Amino acid sequence: MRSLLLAADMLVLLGMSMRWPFVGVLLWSWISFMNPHQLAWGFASGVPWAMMTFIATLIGCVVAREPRRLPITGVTAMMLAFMLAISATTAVAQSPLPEATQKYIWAIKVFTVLLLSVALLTSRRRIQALVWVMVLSLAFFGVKGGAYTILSGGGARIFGPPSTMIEDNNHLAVGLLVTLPLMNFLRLQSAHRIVRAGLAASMVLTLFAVVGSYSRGALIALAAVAVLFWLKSRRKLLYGALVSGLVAGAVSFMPQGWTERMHTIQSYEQDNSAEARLTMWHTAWLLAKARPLVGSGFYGPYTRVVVDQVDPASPARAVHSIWFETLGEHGFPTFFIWAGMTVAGALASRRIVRAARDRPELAWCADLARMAQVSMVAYLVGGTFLSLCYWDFYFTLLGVVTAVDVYVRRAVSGTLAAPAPARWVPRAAPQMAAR
Amino acid sequence: MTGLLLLLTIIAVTWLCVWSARADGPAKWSPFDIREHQQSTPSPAAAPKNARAAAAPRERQWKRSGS
Repeated sequence: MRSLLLAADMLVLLGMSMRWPFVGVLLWSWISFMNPHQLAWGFASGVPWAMMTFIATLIGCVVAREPRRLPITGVTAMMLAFMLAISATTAVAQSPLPEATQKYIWAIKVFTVLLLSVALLTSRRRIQALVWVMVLSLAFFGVKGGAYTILSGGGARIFGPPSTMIEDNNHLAVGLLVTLPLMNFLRLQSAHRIVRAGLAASMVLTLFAVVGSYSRGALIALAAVAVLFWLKSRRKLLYGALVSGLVAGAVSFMPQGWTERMHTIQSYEQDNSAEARLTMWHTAWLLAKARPLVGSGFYGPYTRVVVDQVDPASPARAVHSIWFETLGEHGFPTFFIWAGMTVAGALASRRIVRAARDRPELAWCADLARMAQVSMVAYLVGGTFLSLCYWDFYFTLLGVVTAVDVYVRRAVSGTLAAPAPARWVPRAAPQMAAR
Repeated sequence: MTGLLLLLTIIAVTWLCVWSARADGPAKWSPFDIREHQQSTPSPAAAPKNARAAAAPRERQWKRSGS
């Protein structure tokens, strides 16, 4: 039943993507972030929906008569540079070519759709729609995980969308932390009280899911997010009490086993998991130093023969750090381009906040920029302990920020297309005139 | 619970796809409706040349109707 429903829905949306390519962007994002077909048993889970959406969206771009020009901003320029850079590093990769090429093709597809998304994010409605899809895709696991944590008394572990980068509990926790500020943005923007209440409840459940993941890295990131949330809030006293109360409540709800695990953060030298991370960071650093311009290529630190060249005693496995993984796999120039995407996104968000000051019609842009800044910090702090350097959700967030930056610039310069009038306006005027 | 959440997500994403295909501005009710802020007055330079001319007769018609 699930499979049939999902397949029917996907087919309708695929058809719409060929008429409205932005629908394809939303569908692609949904599939990439949530993998909904993997949650539906039956034939739908085996259909290559992402590829079909990619093709339908490209057809839509050719067929649809709408302006689509990629704005060249700091973020999009860095994204284009990143695509070129990983092309070069993959061409000379030390890691096995089939695996490296597979990951490379995936990354190129992700960034191609992302650049297309930025070109099509031309209205407030579209920007909000993409943020909604991002939030819905992860809130599904936040709400489910939070409810599961509460019902099990904090005894159960939670997991993310199957066959995605955030399937693991640690990765999911950071993913949820990145999503929390976006949920708050939608809550601030929603016109309906019931939706605002639903989003607030989802935020509380997501917080429980983060804590219930038993991830120590996520706990550190949660502390950073809580502080930044408070700093960015307008009503500091209220938010301070609310955030600290919620975090304290969630933490005190967890059982003794959770507390003991979190206390091992202080004695990381005696912890095998933490020790292995430090070893892999060192190995990735050595790989970067051995080939500073191109690194070892995708999956280099995971490949025994590659790791043996710099440190035979080190294990060949995931690096567990966005910083060191990018360095070890692609070398210094690509690392700076990768980090440059975040820097450009941060600068754009700052620009948005400044430009939107004293402009009530752009207040939503400032809200989104502020919350995106919190999300960025959540990713950068949480990602320090995880292999999430190519997480498409985060790059989509940067794409959204740059689209808002372009929107604000157009609004300030007066070149923004005026919103469509309400349906009743053209009808009402002639009727009144006729009386 | 997973099935119910999945169903809600499918409905929400489909609704969003239809909703996003419309232009900005007021439309039919949807759960994704946004709080509208007051629009600032657009600069005369940004407005199309014929916008003022098109608006003028309507203003006069409203006055004449006496309502």
